[in-house]
Amino acid sequence: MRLNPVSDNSDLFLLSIRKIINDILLKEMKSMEDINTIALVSSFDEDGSGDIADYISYEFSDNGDKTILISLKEESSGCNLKNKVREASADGIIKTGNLNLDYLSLDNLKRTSEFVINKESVKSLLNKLKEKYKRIIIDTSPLEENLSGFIAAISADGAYFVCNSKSNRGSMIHKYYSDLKDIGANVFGVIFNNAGKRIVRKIYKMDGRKHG
Amino acid sequence: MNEISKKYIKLFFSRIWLLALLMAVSAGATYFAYKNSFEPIYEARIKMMIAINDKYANEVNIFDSIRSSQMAVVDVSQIASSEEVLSGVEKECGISQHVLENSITINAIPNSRIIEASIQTYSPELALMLLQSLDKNLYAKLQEIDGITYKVLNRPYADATPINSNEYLIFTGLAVLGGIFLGGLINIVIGESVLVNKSITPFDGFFENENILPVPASKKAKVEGVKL
Repeated sequence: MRLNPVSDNSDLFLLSIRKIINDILLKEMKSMEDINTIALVSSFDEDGSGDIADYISYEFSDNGDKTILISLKEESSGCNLKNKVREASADGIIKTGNLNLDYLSLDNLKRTSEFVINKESVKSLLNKLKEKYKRIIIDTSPLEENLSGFIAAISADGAYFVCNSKSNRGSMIHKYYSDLKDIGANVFGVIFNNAGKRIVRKIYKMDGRKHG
Repeated sequence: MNEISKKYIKLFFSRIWLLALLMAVSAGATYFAYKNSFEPIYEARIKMMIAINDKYANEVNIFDSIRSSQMAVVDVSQIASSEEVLSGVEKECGISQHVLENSITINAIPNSRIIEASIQTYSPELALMLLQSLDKNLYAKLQEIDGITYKVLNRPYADATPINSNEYLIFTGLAVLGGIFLGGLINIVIGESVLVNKSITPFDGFFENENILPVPASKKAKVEGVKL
């Protein structure tokens, strides 16, 4: 993949996504186990887990890993891939323009297999997909809406908790995060979406404006 | 109270020493500035009750008499501040009519026959002298106008304490509030700046010990090579 930095911000954004990928790969190396399924869990719709999930999927697929992005959102309009799909296979999986990247929406799952979100069905789906895909990225509904985020988080190998750093609902975010840990989800980290550039540079220890 | 309000209230009082310092500086500066430029104002007052002459009062009933006196109050108010009366005061005291016009306040108490007159100057003696002169000239003028007279209820007197002696307390109080407000604003500005520059974890450091991965806004991000 080549980065096309239309602005310093986009450059920084994509580098931040790469940092998340590196974080996953590092964890994989440390644990000596594959991390196939990763859930992105957010508290509210405004947290923007959809974009993060999209770009993580792009990045993995671009690295050559066969990847599928699953959207467990009731309305998957937030996913950029939705409007750019070609055709769905019998199992509801949609091929994207990228050879290594497929997409599966909750709508298609329901249409093809009368899928209901619960711990067993999600685990079963993930086990089935693991046979075909190396990376399974799960974008979930906000925790304030339903339990799909909790279910995906405990069913996946690990989860990232996405929150909008400009949110003014800190106390609720604290609560959902605590709940996520309490149910035993393997939380890899917290993604502060919409973070200030200075904070991004500071945490990733980037100097100057040229990166990558 | 929402999170933002709590945050700004916390920031406002985050540096109490700054609030105290600005409060003390502004209060002190105001006090000394006011003290240096302070000009005391003294006031002399007189209270009069207007009446119409007995010879007319005998010819009308008591209600008409009171009504006539109340109407006369307005007349007397105008006469007291008329050029003829003020010129008499000017001659006696040597204070120009223009200055007198600005110093004299004539207040007719509604629905009564009482008039309060006051004069404000920078000296209690002068205020009293002017008021006595006004009383004298007004009385002389009313003598010329048949049928109206007045009785003095309170003899002219002047307070030895300036009427604006408490002003410095009010201004100093306002300066104290201003100092607190300014200090609070500075605290918010500094606090916001520190938060932007230093805080790597929003939400009051709740996630400080977690693996933090910030991602900036993504609206303009484009990836080349992914053709959907």
